[in-house]
Amino acid sequence: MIVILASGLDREARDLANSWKGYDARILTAEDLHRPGWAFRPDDGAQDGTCVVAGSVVGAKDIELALTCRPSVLPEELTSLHPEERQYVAAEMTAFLVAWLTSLTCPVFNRPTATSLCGPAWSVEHWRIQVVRCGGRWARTGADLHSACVIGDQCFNAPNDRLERVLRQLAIAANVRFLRALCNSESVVSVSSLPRCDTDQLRDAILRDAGLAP
Amino acid sequence: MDAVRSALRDLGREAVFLDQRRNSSMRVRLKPSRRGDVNGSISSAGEALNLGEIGSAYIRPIETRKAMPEPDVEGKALQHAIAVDTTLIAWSDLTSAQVVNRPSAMASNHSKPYQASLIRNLGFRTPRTLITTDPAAASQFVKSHACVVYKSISGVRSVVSRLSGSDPEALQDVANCPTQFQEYIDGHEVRVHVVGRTTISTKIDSGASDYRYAHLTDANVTMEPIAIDESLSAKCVKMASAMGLHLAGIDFRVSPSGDWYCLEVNPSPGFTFYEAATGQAIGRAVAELLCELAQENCGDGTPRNGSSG
Repeated sequence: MIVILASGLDREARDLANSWKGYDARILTAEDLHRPGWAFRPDDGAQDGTCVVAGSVVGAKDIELALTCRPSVLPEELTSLHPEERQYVAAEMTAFLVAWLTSLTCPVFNRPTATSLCGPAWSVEHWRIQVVRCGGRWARTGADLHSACVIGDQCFNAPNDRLERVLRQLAIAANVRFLRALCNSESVVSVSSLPRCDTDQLRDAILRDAGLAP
Repeated sequence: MDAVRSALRDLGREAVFLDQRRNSSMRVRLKPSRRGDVNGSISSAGEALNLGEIGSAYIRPIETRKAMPEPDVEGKALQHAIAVDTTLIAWSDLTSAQVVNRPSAMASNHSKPYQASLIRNLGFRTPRTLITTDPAAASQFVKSHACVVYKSISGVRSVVSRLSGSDPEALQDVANCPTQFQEYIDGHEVRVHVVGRTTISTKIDSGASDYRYAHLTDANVTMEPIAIDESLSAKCVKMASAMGLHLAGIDFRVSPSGDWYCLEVNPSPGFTFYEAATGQAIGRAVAELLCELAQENCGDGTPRNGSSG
């Protein structure tokens, strides 16, 4: 089973789940987190426990790959709760998922940090400094921009070898297995560790990196 | 913060205080280099601070909105303050100056079970824990331990409460949100403050489940300085260092049979609470640490200024 952690309103996540139907891909939403069925004993590890995915209770050991397509659970999506409780419950759910996802032994794109469910919660300024440290140039805007991606050991659509080296270094610096950047031949304009894979090329690359496809 | 500033003055060391409440009038510019340095400047009220001259910094940031002088401020003033705070957080994480403590290192405390896994990996015992939305699993856990507490996972509303009885109706509520249950360790608490390579330890006895909130239930709290085993002290120092923390408040419960259980590593400890009760000079130790770190950070041996904010 592949678990995609996303909002129930996330169309891209739904498209991804559909494209991976053959791998039993399901979306784990905030609604799943307030259904009976979660049991996580941190001392024993996530694999020995149970979770709720797409409304069903499943064994965590059945998860072969997890994609974290959100940095946190938002209070606004907890519409079944009293408004005064939403902020607190969203914080609890996010903190829980940080621990649970960290404990999963299957591949996770991207492993959470204490500040975000999908890698480091770096600000634009932080990414800018890291790009420079990795030998790249940062620009606030640019022309002829396109999206490049690092997945595991592979880099896709980098405009040239120099920027490919920069992006690979950046992924290592950020300790992520999925990194997406908007760049042109000279500079990087934006970076994200949110694993958005909207092409078959990227989707297949994730499956290969996770060992689920040849 | 005031305790450290006062101690630095007593040590005759100059420190610059950056008041987060004045962020709306500050300007911050960062200049990264390929060598890895992050220099730049902070200017406020006509004065400028060269970030490259900072040898050590003590930071206790709070959420920007809470730091604003007018709580309901919106618009450009708030946006600017957020931008300043965000930039300073980035600097704090990336600068080669020594920071007590870097924001990324402090963040592990935002998820208690996540931090607990780090604590276990570093060789400390932690209480048995279950996080669940399953009333049956919660009931089973309660039955298998003499006493159980429940506590928040995120640190928001972080008050430890003992579970009274095993009312099955009460446990039905766990379905609403993952809830953290832990075996209660009878005995007393010890707070070990790690300051650099040293530890300052305080024994706490209280009738409350959470001594920090004993005043809410009129429960008693007594504190006294204690000496801990040297090997335990070294282990605490090592754990703080492994977590990237120069300063930490490590909470233990010690069972009647002498087993030490680590509950939490507080990366921004409110040490004045313990200092006031026991006279332990924790603030001075932090000030001395900042001076030492600034000295170490300066390549030519010239002491740099400390900075706090």
